[in-house]
Amino acid sequence: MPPINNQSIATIQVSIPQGTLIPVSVEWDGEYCISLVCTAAIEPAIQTAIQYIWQRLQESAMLGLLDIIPAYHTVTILLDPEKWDNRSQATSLTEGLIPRLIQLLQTSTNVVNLVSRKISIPVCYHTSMAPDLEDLANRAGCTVEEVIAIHTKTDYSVYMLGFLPGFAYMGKVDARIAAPRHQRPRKEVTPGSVGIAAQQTGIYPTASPGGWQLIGRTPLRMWMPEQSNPCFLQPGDEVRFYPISLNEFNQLATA
Amino acid sequence: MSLRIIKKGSCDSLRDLGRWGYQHLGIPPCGAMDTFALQQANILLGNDRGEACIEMFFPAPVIQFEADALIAISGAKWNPSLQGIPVNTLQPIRVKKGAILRFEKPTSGRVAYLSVQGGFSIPQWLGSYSTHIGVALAGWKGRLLEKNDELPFRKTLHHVWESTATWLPEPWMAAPEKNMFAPIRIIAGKHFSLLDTTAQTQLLSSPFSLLPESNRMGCLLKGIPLEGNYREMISAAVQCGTIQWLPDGQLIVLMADHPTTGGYPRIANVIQADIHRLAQWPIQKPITFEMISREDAIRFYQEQHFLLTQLQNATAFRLASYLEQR
Repeated sequence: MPPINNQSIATIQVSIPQGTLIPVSVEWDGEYCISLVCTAAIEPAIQTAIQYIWQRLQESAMLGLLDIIPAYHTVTILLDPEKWDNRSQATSLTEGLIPRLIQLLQTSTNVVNLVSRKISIPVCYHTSMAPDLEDLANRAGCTVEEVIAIHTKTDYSVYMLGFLPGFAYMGKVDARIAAPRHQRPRKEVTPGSVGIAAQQTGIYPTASPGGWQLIGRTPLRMWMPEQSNPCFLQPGDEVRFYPISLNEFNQLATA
Repeated sequence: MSLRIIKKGSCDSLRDLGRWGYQHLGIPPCGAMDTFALQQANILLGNDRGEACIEMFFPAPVIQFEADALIAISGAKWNPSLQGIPVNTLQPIRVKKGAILRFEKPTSGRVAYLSVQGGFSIPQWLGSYSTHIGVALAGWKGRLLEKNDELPFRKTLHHVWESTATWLPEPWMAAPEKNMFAPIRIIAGKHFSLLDTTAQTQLLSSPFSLLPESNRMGCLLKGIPLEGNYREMISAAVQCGTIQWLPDGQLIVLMADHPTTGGYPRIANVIQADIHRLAQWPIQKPITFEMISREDAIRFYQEQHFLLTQLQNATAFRLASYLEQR
């Protein structure tokens, strides 16, 4: 039998704001990669824990990390192989990095508050910009106005960015207007298009093929490559949509 | 001080060691497919290891030097020639203005690198020169190289030609890699145990072939479909080397242009020290996998890193005496 690696390193209890303890499994995810894994679910409480862990890791400015990538229930840490060579205790993964990591996350004495940006995003739900809105309303058994009202009354969290640079996966969409992806993706989706897939909503930052149900479009640029932070949205942001008219869309788009 | 693409290849782009620190924004590293070869090409010329090189797939481009240059070619062996005369890979070559570089015939390998001393004069985006084709940024105008593109060098080559030759090899080189086609070594991934025991054995004993659709995003493998308790996962981060198990039982190994997250089960990881061999693996040639421990995977990476350090030390010595003679 080949050597099957035991991925599990430890299970720790992480205190998140409001005093909740969340069990987090520390796991190998490759020889130079460690993942912090919560219960596998797409849930706001888990999102809060992930966000908390991600912010702590970022603040810690630990050396030798290439990337810290949050997703729905995981934070994945890519290690710089050149910095971790096991030649001394300080550069050893098991003696140097992992204890420091665990200590950082278990320090419950000074639980800091989560910092999340609150962002309002204008969306034009006009037919010309919402090719799937009417079908989605019919499927949901309600009017287009009701879909818009439901979509705009929820505060969404940005769970993670992926698929395309700057594409934010947000949730949780009200079950009444959840809708499956198209069987066949569109060949090209216009940048700024707002879509729904299952209980998630997202905005296409750039032109790309895409299978989400398109219910509107924002005039804001989600992708700003000329800036040092090229993405309008970041993991952990709190987003609320508000409806605008076609006129307002055009004014904002040219502003 | 530049070189010119006089005939474009199938997929030529500028690459370095990758754009790190932005995957939480969905921006993948997009570095070289074979970072070992890229580093060899740079080290041979005394460049920073991560200097931008031209990455090429076959059919390769035809390149004319518009100024004297010190160059090195690494990675795939496609019988390169200058002015029609064969030249070595893994050896610095002084090239006179006007010389034309061709790749005659693919003998082995899938991806080659061309470095120039001092590097190319191109801007970085988010700390890296690597081209991001999807958002059309970095590298050379955010795209693949085209006919008549003129890539400027950062430095002029100061030297004296003591011969009439249009090119001259320099007397130092890197050793070619041994065991290029040994089994690709993997370590078990989080979802390995979802494979049933027969599939686990198949993964480690049956051959897989590399499909021609493989590209910079991933290596698509075809073998006996692997069975087990298949289910899609909640998306999480993936990395170069992640082996994903697809709904039809086949496998994909993610490579340099991989998306940052994925929802397919992650059954194993190709070890970092073997990514470059997979990048060079011939299409259709059977691949077998060998599972090793995480500790060994780290040891193999360190051995590889040590080889590059040795090359760097040896080259620094030769380069110093070379420069003294000028």
